[in-house]
Amino acid sequence: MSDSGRMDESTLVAVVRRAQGGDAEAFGEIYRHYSGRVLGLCRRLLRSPEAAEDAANETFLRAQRAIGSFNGTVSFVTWLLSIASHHCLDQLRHRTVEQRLMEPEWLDRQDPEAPELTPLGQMMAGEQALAVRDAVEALPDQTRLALVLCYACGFTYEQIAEVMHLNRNHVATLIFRGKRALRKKLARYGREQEG
Amino acid sequence: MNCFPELTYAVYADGELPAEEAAQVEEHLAACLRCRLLADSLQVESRALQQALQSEETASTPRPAPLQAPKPDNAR
Repeated sequence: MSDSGRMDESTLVAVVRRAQGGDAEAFGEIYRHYSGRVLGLCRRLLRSPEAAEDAANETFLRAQRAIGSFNGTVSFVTWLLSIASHHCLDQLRHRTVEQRLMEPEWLDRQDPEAPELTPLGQMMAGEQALAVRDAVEALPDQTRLALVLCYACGFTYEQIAEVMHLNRNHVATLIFRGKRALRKKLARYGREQEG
Repeated sequence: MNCFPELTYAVYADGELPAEEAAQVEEHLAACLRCRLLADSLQVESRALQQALQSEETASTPRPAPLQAPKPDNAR
């Protein structure tokens, strides 16, 4: 079972408690329920299906070891996705310099121009969602992570700041610049489609 | 009241502006068409990004992890 169906809050609390008590079947239920979401996050952050699968599995192993420390101060899914994010960040940090040099650099350049006022969001609907995801995947690591945590995982700026060890204003700026870069990329995509 | 920087509207569009500042922004938006259009487009953009990025979230499931018996005392 994927996590396409939502587990209601009281069921989730009960399942987590059972898992904290050592019930392997309960943890399996958590795994089945959230594995798609964790994999989706890892895939976007690592940009490699194989690395993402490994990272997703590692996330659940870590979660299983640490589930006793989950105390409900954040939602369970936030806690779980934080583990995935930390692991993916570690993976990204350990990638070789050569790999990093191959990443596109155009997005790192800051554009002093005023942003377009065109509602590019309208362009992002429907079949162009794929273009949006591709554009997000081409962003630098930190920017991509902030955008994915914000828009794919629904983290607040505060939660993102905690995961990324940044202050909240820095997160806001990262997301802002990331969306500006996406706008430029997608505007180019729009012109290509028209031409 | 002067217009706010675009970053402020972007944070507002994400629902991340503190209440007091959000109220000031809303007061300005009620009076400034240019900023209202900008704020509206940023909100459309944020919603579209959510839709685009969440649409693939449940696409697949990783191969089963080699789950071990939980050790609740072994918390991190």
